[in-house]
Amino acid sequence: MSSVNAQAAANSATLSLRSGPLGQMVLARVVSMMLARAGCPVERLDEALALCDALSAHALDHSVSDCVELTVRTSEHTLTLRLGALTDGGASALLRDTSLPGVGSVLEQIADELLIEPADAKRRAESSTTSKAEELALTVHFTPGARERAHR
Amino acid sequence: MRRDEGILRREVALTLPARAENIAIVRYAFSALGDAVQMGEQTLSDIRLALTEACTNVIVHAYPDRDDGVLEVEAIVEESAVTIVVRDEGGGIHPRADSPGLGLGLPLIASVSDSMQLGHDAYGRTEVRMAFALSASDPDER
Repeated sequence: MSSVNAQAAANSATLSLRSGPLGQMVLARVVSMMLARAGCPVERLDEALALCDALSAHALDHSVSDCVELTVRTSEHTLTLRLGALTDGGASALLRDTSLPGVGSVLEQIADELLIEPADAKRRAESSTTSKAEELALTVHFTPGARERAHR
Repeated sequence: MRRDEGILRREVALTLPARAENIAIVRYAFSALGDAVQMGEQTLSDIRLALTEACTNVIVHAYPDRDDGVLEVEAIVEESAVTIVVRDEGGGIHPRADSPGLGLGLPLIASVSDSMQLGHDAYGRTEVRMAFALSASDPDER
């Protein structure tokens, strides 16, 4: 039975990532701690971390600048990741980059919802770009305290 | 673990709501420096301590009249030093007669870091900038 406090589960964090392994390591720790507080089952937490690794490994290849911003939000049943600003077509390219032979896109396999949207004006301004830019939004659902989930 | 050669500067910044429970997230997240960069255990311990104190200062003092303030932490890794910057959008660093703490945070940071600077960034945000020299090992471990 879940005893997760909804207030404890609700949190947000924004990471600005540049090249190198440090950002990937910090992201993994932030997400794991936020999900642990939200009562995310270990198996689903593992999958979420695999998703974060895939994102951070390839995001900068498709960013409009030398930095990419990733916003993480958790609630009692949900993890959302929003990545931007990406180049026009960058989100689709990122999905292809994170594909594994025989598996397909890791992002599509793990995320329950996946959305490609135009980057908002604020993010485009922060990225100093006037061209089209995109954001990739991923949602992972979980049941706090659940010990098993059906494998895809 | 060898320090990465040829990568002169690596950066990451993390922004969170300025809530007490997020200090632990910051501390855990930036402990990753110990894996990403070759540094002695004492240096990593000093970074954790200074970071905790600086973040606690933000939580306790930066936003006395609001609960939607933010805490930003940035790590800048260079060849010979790590710089940790803690920022907030509060009213600046001022002495408080009604401070709930003992006032030891900033002196503690100054004692464990190689340098500490207080100021504002280009956007007027309050900054505490702490630098830690990197060596292959701590002097006590040689």
